[in-house]
Amino acid sequence: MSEILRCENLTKKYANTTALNSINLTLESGKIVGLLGPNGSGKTTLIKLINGLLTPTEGTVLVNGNKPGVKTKCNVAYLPDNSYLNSWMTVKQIIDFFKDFYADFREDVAYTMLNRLGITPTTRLKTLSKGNKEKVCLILVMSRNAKLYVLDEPIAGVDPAARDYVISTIINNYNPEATVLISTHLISDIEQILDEAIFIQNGDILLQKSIDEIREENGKSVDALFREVFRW
Amino acid sequence: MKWTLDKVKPLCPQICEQVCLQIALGEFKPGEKMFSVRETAINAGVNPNTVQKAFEQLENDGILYSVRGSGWFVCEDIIYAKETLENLIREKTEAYFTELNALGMSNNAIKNYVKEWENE
Amino acid sequence: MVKKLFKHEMYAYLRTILPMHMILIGIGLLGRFVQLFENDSTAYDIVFWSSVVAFCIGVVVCVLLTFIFGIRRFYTNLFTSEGYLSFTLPVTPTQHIFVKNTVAFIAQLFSIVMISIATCVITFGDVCVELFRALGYIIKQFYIQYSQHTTLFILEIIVTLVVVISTSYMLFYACIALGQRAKKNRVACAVGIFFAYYMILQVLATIAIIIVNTFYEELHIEEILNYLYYHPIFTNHLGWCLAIVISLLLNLLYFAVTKSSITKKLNLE
Repeated sequence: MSEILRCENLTKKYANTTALNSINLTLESGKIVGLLGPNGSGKTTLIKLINGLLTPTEGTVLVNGNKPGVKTKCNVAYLPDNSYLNSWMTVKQIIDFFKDFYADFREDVAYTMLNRLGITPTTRLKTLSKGNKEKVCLILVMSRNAKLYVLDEPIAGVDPAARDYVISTIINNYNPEATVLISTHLISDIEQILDEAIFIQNGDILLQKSIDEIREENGKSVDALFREVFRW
Repeated sequence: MKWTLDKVKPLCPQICEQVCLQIALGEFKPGEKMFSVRETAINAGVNPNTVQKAFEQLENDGILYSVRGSGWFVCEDIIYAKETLENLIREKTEAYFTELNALGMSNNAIKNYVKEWENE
Repeated sequence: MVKKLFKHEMYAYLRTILPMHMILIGIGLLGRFVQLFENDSTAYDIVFWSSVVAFCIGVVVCVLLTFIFGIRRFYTNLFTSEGYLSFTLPVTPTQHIFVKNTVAFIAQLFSIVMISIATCVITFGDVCVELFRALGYIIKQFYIQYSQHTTLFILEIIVTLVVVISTSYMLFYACIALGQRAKKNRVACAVGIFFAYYMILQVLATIAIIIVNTFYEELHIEEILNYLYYHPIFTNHLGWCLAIVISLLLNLLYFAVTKSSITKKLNLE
C-alpha cells in the first residue's frame, strides 16, 4: 500500500492557542479514515493545512509526496465544512466550473446523481434548500476521481435520511485506490464504514487504529470508546 | 435478509457470519454469483474494504471463490456455511436456556412452556 | 488554466458590470428622447437638466462601482468563504493575481468604452458631431505643434493609463493581502495599511521637496528646469516615460508583496 498523506511535526498556532501540536501522521491509500474529535480539537485546522488554506507554523504536510500546491490540488477533493459556492451560479455553471479546473471530474457521474435527487441543471444554487445545497457540494466532490478525498463534517446537521445518502454516496463513488478522510464528531453514524479511526484532542493525536482492532481490544464500539476518552 | 451488525464486535467476522447464513438459508445457491463487494458494502452499510476482507476470508474457508474480472461466487460445497448456521442456532438455544435457567426455570419447565406457548 | 480562470472571471464581472452600463445607456437614450421635445418652457428645462444630471451621476457611479467591484472581487473571491474553492483549484497564486488584475483592467476599459457609447447616445446628432470635431481639432493642434511626436505621445499616454490602472489595483491587492496577515480585523488592517502607506508616500515627497529646496544650488536645479522648459518635447517624453517606469516598478513591488503574502502566509478562517 502506498502512502498518500504524511504529516511531520505539524504545528499550527493561532493568536494565543495551539490548534495542532507537532503531530505526526501517515495515511495509506485505499482506506476510509475517520478523523474523530470534539469541536475545537484541531480537525478543521488539519484539513485546511492539507488543502493549503493555512500555512503551518512548523513542520510539513505532504500529499502524495508533495507540499500543498498545484500538484496536490489536482489530486485532493475537498468538502469544506461551510457553504463555499457562489450562490448566484446555476447547478450547470458550477459543474462546468469543476469540469474546467479538475481534469479528474466526471461530469456524467455528477449529472446522474443530481438527476436521482431531482435537481435540474438550471436551478440556481441559492434557491436550493440547505440540505440539497449540501448534497450538491458532496456530489461535486465525489464526482472527482481524486487520490485523496477530504470531507470536513459531511454529516453534521443533516437528518438521518440525508446521513444515509451521504454515506452511500461516499461508498458508491470513491475510487478504491483512493483514501477518504472524514472528519466528524458524530461517530456512531459513520463508524461502520471506516477502516481506521484517528482520535484527535486539543491538537494532539491520541490514537490511530483500525476499527476492528479498537472493537477487539476494547470490546466496545468506537463511539463508546470515543465517549469514554473525551468525557469531560 | 436484513443485515444486523453488532456495534460492539469487530465487523469483519460479523460479515463472514452473515454471508454464511445467507448462503445456508438459500439466498445464494451453490455456484451462484454473489453481490459485488461494493453492493454488499452498501447493503450492509459498511466499508467495501471490510467486505473485501471478509470475502477473502470466506474464500480461505472454502465458501466463496473469486473469478478474476467477474466477481465472487458461492462454492458448490456449502457444508461450512451450514455448520455456521447450526452453530448459531445452537448458540442461541443455549443462550435462551441459560437465560431462563437464571430466571429459575428448569430445562423441562422450559420445554413445557414452549409447547404451551406454541398452542396459544 | 489561465485561460479558464479568465473565462470564469470575465463572466463574474460581466454579470454585474454589463447591466450597470446598460442602464447608463438607457439613461442616455431617455435623455436623448427628452431632447426631441425641446422648447422654451421651464418644464422642459427642468426635465432636460435632470436628465443631464442623472446621466452624469450615472457615469460617476459606473466608474466608481467598476473600480470598487475590481477590488471587492479580489477580496471576496480569495479571502472569504469563496476562497475555499479558489485556493483549492490547481492554480498558482501568480495566476490568480494576474488574472484578477487583467480582468479588472479589462473591466475598466469596458467601462470607458460603454461610457463613450452612452455619451454618443445622449448627444446623438449635432452635439455628438461637434464633440468629435473638437476632439479632432485638439489632436490636429498637437500634430501641428509636435508633428510626428504626437503619435508617440498618444502611445505613451495610453501605456501610462494601462500601467497606472493595473498598478492602482495592484496596490489595493497588496493592502488586502497584507491585511490578511493580521490575526483579526483583517479588512480594517488592510484599510489601515493603505492609509499608512499613503502617509509614508506624502512624507517621502515632502522630504524630497525639502532636499531639493535646501540643495537648490548644489543640485543645479535651476539649470535643469531651464533645460526642461526650453525642450518641451523632451520634457514630455521624459515625464510620460518616468511615469510608466515608476508605475511599473511599483506594480512589480505590489505584486511581489501580494504574492508572498498569499504563498507564505495564507490563513483562511
